[in-house]
Amino acid sequence: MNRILAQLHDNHQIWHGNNHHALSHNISTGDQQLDHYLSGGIPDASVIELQTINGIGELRLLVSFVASKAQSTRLISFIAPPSDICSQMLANHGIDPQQVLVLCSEQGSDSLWSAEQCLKSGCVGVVILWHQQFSTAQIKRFKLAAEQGQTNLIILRQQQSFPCYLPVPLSLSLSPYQYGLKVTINKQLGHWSKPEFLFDMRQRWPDLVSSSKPSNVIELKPRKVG
Amino acid sequence: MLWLYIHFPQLQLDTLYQEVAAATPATVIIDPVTNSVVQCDMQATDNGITVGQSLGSAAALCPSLRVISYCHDTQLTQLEDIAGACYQHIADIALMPPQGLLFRLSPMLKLYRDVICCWQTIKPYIEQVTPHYSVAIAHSAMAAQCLARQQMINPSEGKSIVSLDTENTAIDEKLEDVELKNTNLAKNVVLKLGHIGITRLGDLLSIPLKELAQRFDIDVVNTLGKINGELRPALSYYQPSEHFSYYLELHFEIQTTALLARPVSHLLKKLEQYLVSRELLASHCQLTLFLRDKGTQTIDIDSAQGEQKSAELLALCTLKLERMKLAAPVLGLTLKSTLLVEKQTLSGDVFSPNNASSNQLSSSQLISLLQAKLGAHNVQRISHHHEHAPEYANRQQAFKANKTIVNAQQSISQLRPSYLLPVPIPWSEPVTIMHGPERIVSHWWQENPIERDYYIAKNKQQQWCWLFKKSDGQWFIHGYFG
Repeated sequence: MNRILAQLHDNHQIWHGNNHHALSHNISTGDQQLDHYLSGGIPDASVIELQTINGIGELRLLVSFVASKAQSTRLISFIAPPSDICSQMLANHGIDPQQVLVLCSEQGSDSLWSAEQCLKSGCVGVVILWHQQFSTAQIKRFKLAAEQGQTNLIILRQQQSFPCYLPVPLSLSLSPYQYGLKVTINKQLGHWSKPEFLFDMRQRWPDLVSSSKPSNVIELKPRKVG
Repeated sequence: MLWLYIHFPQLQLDTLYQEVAAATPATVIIDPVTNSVVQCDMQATDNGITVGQSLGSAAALCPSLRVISYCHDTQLTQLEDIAGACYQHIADIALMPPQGLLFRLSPMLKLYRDVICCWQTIKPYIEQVTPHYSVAIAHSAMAAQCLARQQMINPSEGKSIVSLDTENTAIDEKLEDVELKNTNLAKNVVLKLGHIGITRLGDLLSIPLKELAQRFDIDVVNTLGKINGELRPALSYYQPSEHFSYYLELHFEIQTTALLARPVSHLLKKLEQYLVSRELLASHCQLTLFLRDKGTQTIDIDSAQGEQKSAELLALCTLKLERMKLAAPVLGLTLKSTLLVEKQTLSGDVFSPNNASSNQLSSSQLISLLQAKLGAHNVQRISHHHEHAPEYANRQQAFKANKTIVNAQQSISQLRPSYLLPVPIPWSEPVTIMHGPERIVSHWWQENPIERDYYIAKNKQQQWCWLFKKSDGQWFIHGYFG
């Protein structure tokens, strides 16, 4: 390396394409398949955005991560969920319902406030927040609070009609797929853009995937109920 | 027997709550019965107002006079407050309302080296409340009272007079100089004695008791006996109350909740002093706002862990105040502690990275904070019970600090949705049934019998739904697999 290059390098004015690992510290999601696709896991103590509709398997995608966070005595808080959270499902995945805190609020601003308090407190392992609109400043506040409390925030919101990227280190879009979920990485800090991948749920949740049809079965039309 | 008496000439005036650094007008306290000045502050004195003047002449001397009516109860509360603070150091304290506190020093001299040492211990508590006081020591309770009152009549310099002579001769000399109006003798008796030329206690003491008993009624003899120490006055000693309660009168109206924070923090600081001296934590406090014409409004401050610091209680209180609306301007506040718990030191994990910074909260602190902001019903916990019907097996209810829920052990790992609707909703859209049925039937002894066949189905948006069919063929949706 010549002198000028060395100088530029020392002043951090050259970006190396291959040293992206130094940028953020990734932690395992507890699921080998997902870790593989996300090149090592999800950023620690930060904010993750999931653009999805509810009820297609978005919680199953990250349930092993949440369960791994619940191993310590820290709380898991669900903020403004669309309906009640089922304790049996959590217990099935090894999350003690006693550690779970569900916060409802009449106003959106209250749920943002609660999320920030939970992140800052240091006694909450993961915060899962259902909320639609965020300002850039709000996400920055969340990032600082998450760092302070060494906590992760998972934001669940609807698919945005126009690409409006929040300053989050990891943003994923989820869509339903026959054997699980189709995941598009909208943004991953410090990584090259990657093609979308399929998250296979056939092994863990065989009852919640559309089974492949044997060739000798004649399909009936969907049953109309009611 | 040694007695120490502290006389407070203007307790109500000194303990008026006023905003710091605000320019306050000259203030006097008026006795509403006699309509005369009983207490007046420095500014009023500068304007020529003296104690005993009528309200009319006081108002004539100073047009911008602030007049507050005298309240016996306020004085009594203040005395109790001082007694409560001093109680940590001196065991026998008698309240002598409306203006004094009496300390029995003799038993305390076993703990303290001398009287001066004793006085130095309680002095800071007195100075905190008022700079105007007079202290005297005598061998009987009433003699100490007379001396303290006498000293206040002609204060030489400064606001407070302390005389801690314990010599018999010095005390007797001073006692002889005490004017009769500073004793507990009735006014008409003092007047009568004045007519026969007796104005000082010394003159009265020189007359034989027998002769006095012939001319005056028994009260005079009794009073003299109490001053001599021959008779013992009936004293009721102070007993600290088990709970903190303090009323703060505002002499202005507060209309917005944001402005309430200052007086509330004043009250909370008092609570903190109370708690610190007793090694207690406040788990539940009640703040009552007295509104103009509208009765009262109450705010409950809950802390699951219990708090001692006024700053943290204030944070909880501010959140509560933000959420409420004042029906009318506030004229006064009362803070009452309703649940106190023993302070326990929590020993955290030294090696945990979460303990590194000091501003971390414990989970109960966080829950109290959230409850204060969102309302107690919005902070919920979930529990799992031994039941088959999903509504009973999974419950989501408001968080209660003192209630622990024992969760059932998972026996069979059934597939359950992550989102459970609070009430099943009738369903009529076409779906593709993927699995099922799973029949759930209630027991014969249960109320609200159910018989449902649950199916897992996919709807048009590819959501995984949890549907059930009742025995009468009606379909309902009960949850989604998230």
